[in-house]
Amino acid sequence: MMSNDKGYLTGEHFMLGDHAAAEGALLAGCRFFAGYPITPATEIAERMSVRLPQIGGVYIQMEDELASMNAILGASWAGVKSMTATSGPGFSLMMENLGLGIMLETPCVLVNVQRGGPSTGLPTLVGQQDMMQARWGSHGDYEIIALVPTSPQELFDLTIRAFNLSEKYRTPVLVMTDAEIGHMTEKVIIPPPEEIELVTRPEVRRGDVAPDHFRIFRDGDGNGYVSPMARAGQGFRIHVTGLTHDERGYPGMNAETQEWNVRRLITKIRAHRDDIIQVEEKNLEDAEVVVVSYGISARTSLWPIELARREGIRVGYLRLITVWPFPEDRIRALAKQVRAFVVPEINMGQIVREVERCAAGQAEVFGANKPGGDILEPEQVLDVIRRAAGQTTQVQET
Amino acid sequence: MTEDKMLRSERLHMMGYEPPDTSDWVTGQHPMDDLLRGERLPHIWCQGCGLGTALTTFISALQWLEENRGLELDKVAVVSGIGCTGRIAGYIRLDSFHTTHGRAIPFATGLKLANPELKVVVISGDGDIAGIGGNHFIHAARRNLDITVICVNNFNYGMTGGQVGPTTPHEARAVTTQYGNFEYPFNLPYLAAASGASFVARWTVLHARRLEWSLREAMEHPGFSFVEVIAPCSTAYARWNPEGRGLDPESLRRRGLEVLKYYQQVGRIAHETHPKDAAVQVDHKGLLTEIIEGKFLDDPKPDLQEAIDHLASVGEARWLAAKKALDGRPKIAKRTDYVPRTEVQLGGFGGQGIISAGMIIGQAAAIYDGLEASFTQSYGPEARGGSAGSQVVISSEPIHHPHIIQPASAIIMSQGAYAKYAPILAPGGMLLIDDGLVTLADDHRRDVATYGLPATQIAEGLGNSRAANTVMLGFWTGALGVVSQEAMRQSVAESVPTKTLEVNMHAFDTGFQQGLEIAGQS
Amino acid sequence: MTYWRQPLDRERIQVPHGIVHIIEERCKGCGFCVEFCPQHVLVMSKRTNSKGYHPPELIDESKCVNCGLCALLCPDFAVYVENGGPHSPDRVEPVHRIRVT
Repeated sequence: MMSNDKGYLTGEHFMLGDHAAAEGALLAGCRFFAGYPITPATEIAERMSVRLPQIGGVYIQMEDELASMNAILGASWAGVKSMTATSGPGFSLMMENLGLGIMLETPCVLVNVQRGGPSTGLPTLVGQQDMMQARWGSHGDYEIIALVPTSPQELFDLTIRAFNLSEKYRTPVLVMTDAEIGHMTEKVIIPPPEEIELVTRPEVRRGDVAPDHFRIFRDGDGNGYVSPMARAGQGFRIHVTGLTHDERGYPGMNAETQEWNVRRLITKIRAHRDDIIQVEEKNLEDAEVVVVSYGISARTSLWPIELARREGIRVGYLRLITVWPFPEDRIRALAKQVRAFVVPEINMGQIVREVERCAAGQAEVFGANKPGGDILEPEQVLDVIRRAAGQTTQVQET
Repeated sequence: MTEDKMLRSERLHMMGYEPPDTSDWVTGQHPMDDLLRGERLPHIWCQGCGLGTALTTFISALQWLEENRGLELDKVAVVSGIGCTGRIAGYIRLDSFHTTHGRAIPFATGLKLANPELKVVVISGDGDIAGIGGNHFIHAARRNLDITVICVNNFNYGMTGGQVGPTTPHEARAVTTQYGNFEYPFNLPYLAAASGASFVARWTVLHARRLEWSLREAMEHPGFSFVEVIAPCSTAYARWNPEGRGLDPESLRRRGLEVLKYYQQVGRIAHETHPKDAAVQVDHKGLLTEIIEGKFLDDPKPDLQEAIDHLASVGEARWLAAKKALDGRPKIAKRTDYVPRTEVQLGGFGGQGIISAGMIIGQAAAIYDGLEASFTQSYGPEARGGSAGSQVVISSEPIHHPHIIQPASAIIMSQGAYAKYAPILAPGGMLLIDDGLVTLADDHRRDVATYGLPATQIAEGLGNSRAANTVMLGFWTGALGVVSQEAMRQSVAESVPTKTLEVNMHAFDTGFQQGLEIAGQS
Repeated sequence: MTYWRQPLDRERIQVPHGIVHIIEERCKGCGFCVEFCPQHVLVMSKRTNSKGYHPPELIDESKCVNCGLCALLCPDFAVYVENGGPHSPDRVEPVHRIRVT
């Protein structure tokens, strides 16, 4: 295991999930972290506070999560890749300004290490109860990108991917992990920096265009065009506002501007779904039941799937690496071929609604649920798979 | 003209929407026009509003600094919040950010820390900065962050119609305190100074020249500078309070002017007034009786960036030390034999190193033996004395279920852990206890092989009772043989403090020998 | 009161002079400039601009001393002052004190 001169920990590590997220961020080029302590995400902040000064970045602990979210937006507008990390209660506090980030088309990454909720809930124990909030938590219409890892290694990898997507599409990106993965220690391999592909936001340079001709939200072809960004201090005298605005960034308080503005934000993500959405598939060709899951629940459903196969049930596996935008097309296509979907999640049924919506009655949809505190037991998921396959079972659904 | 025949833009105009590019503002006529966004003017502020004056003084200060101090206007960033004052960001031709209500200061914090070359100025109103943004205000002052905060205080929430705010004087009237304000206002200079600001001043917009000089000073000041600008709100606050009422009917149309004339009467310039004495004075009806103006505090001290830079140099030294340790890791050949899924439960009380012990096993398995390993822990919020448990799952295959279902072995170092974990062991499994601390129950399970050694005593004998967990680890390694001895020894060596390395290696080896004996027996 | 003779060094007295420019269309008739001009050089005119406000007008441009307060106070960027160059006054008279209540 060798370190390198840039301050990266290249090599094999037995590493805490939260720390892996921090290391991933550093490798992605993150040089600004603003956060607030909250279990189980605090270790990300701690790691960043130790590592960022080592490699020329800035760590600041802000007075609350609202400040943290805004500080990372400010840093991004100064041209620095930035990140914050939180859990449920802090996630709620960040919602308004997540909206600001989306409206200002600001690249940044927000890691939510989910825990049991609602309210203060179970600070030290796992939950996956913020999945819908990730999509709809801020007010107004918008699209969001949310990536969900299943292991510390993947948390490392997806944090890098989150930065790349946020820079490519000029939007905040969420990494929705959970207390289980955040607080789990497993092998994490950190590749040498040369092997990692990094994306930086499309930027305009002084001289490309005159400052008063520069459009901070240029429409381009109108089909989800991502407009080059200027940073503060470059001399473009940009103006951006959270108010509904036009190409120049100036507020336009009328329906026309709203139409343009909102459609732009939404099309920007929707038009690039093929690039953004990632899923992992196993054994779907002959499947009669498909387990659709994400995060730790996807991982823990692999064993019940194996057991079910041994019982003769033809079970397939679809893991959502990107939960938002939701892989609608895949579910719609599968709904035509399979008998039923099973959606295990550590909440009272959130992503199952998306599966139901997309299945549109063409396949049955069953949830395997637990409201937080522990991961799903193999027997519980196996039972729902059996039911989905049409077998009667002894365990009643509550 | 019927509606459908009207152009959409005309219809919008009739409905009162801000027409984007059809204003009658002709730019280039005024010396300040090159710092204004003419395409967005005229501004939305009312006749007699003090904000226009606040903007002219700000621009004037900037122009002076550019000419006399070499300030690069390209490097100035203005951040504002929501409200009438917040609209300043939209009218000034600099890099400007119109953020959410109350959150201009943290946004400015991010901007400034990420690019210390920027000159960041926050311009926002009393409700935005001291109400919803109050927390951010005091913390930025506490940090002595090098920004300038210009708070235009018109004593109410003007944009939304004149509701009471955190600076509305006691007994004054506002739209939501129509019987008189029953609350007490902030003394903003005092709040800023008490929070750690190093430059504090207050002026009214009437004293525009003095205000401009103060803004120059504030922007040059290193560290957190705060300028409170008292301004009339001609449409809201001045309509609800006596200051806006002059003697002749004409003045009722020019309330802003009446308020300024009133400031002329009650304004008193007194530099170096202690901020605690700088509260705006009112009579029992909420009418202003005195506004003390001037520079109250100018006390440069090391700012945040200096402290951060110093910290970075410490960090770099630490990185070099860490790098050295990492590069010194030996290479150990990975195992090639197949290890089926094996679960280990560890338990004890906080302080015994149960967590570290589990980590050591996991690290040995994952990094040195080249297996898959998953380590999780459980503990209460207590740091010492409460129970501690950790779990390791080891396998040659990817681990699907990272939690323990039925562990094949358990390392138990306290009675509480014994009671909790002995029942979950797999039949035929192995229970290893510190028999100096754990007494088996009368109905102890017969279907698990139970072995004990006085680990804590042994560790004490070797010179450090805290090495007890290492003794147990050696014991476990020898008895079960799931993780190799070499991997475990390397993992222990890396995980313990250098001073205790020798005693820990002894402890491990002692436990290991005992473990081998057991393995030989079974 | 008048002086019984003019000061002997009257030519050396340099009084700044300003030329006031008013952009009438921008004016919102707030009255700040009129009220606070220390030389009382401005009054509200009887004319109205297209927004219906009475812009200010100069009544005695020779008295403007280029203090710039009108420009600084104007909330609508409707007034600015150009430096007209200092000049020595033809006559020096005592200035009436402004009463402050």
